[in-house]
Amino acid sequence: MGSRRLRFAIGWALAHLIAVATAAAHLSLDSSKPPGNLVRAYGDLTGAANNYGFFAPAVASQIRARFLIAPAEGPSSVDTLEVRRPETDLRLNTMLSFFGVSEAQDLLARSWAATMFGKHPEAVTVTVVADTFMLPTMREYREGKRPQWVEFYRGVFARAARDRRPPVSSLP
Amino acid sequence: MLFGEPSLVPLALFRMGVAGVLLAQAVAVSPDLSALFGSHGVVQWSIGEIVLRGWQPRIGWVARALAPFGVSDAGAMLAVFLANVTSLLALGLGYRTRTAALLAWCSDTALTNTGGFGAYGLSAFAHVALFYCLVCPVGSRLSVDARTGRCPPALVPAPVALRLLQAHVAIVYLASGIEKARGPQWWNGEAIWRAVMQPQFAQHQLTWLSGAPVVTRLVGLSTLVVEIGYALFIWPRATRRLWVMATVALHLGIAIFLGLWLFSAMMIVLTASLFGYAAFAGPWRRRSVSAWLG
Repeated sequence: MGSRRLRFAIGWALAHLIAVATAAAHLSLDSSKPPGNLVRAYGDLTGAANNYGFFAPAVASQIRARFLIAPAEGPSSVDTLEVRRPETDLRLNTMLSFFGVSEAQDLLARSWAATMFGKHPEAVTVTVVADTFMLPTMREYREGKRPQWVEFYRGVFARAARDRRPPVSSLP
Repeated sequence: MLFGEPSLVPLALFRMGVAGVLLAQAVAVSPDLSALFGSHGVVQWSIGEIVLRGWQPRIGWVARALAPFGVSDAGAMLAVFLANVTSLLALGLGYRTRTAALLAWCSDTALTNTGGFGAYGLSAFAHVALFYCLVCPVGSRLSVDARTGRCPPALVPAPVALRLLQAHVAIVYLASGIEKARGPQWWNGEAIWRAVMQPQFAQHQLTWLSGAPVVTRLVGLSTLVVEIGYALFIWPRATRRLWVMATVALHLGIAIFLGLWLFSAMMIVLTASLFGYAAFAGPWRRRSVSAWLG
């Protein structure tokens, strides 16, 4: 291998590692204009823009979502997004964690309600209820306090009139 | 010497390990493709794409390109997924390695961007690893390409590639450890307690830990030592074996107690291939392997 090519490779590798290290340290240029936007694009494409704050600096509380399915007639039911397959449920729980971002709540709730409407054609309304898992500290647990789910979001979504199916009994 | 070690076998092991983990992931999520990546999945494309930049690849692009041919959104999603699986198989075997890496990287990027709200640590490392499979000579050994004499010229020379990957992994652990150390939970053991008690991670009945804070504190501190110490102690021969074993043990613990098997497998692949081979394949074995490989 030519020495020029080797020098180029080493130079690129060093620049790449600088990008990795600065992103990991949460340092970045203004990505709304050059060169920050180009650096950001490079980082996104290559993975150099990642940061690695897994369970850091604290372990976040889990968020769950429940869906109250209300048909035109008959009792309501409760559904969740879980599928009882570990890898998929892990991804679904990751999606749920974004519900902690207030700006994303209504958007995600709408998306999940749409999923439930598709899964439950009989539903007239879907109520999205989000809870956070409040875990006591080890000391509090020893003193008798126990974990509980605490509701922090409730939104009611109604199926658009044009999408409502007639009751089964009225079909020819 | 900075670039003196044999470099091709660790890179090959890296390639095979990454492909294997990602294939296992593909199998694991295959029953739920529509929910995770579909246009009307748990997060619909119209909503998921709001957070993407205009140039970021997504399945929607493939869908729009194939729509004139009568391919549905679901068909496009399936096509991207099958392209991902096929390319990962080829990558694992080292068949047309660079092309396979490019296709795997592109399809993985589209899948991750489309299902972005569900992407977690494994997705981040998959993206990085596939990029390195594209630019590094990971197919030059233990591969169909090597057997058939079809290895293309290396974009990044093997010794440089190996040091690059090693340095990246060291930065990952250092950053991860420092981030954890910034808060009190990893020092006082609450992080361990909270992690194992979250319903999504709880694998075993561990409420007794509330009465044994010394255990959680020890585990938390050990995690900080292994992660922050990685950047220092993974390099010297005298401490490399210990740090490889400690890191593998850390991730086995994460798998067993938090159920994060695929994430842990990926992290073990990174350390085992990039540092473990050099640490445990002694000089006599390296000479034998080198002689076998030619």
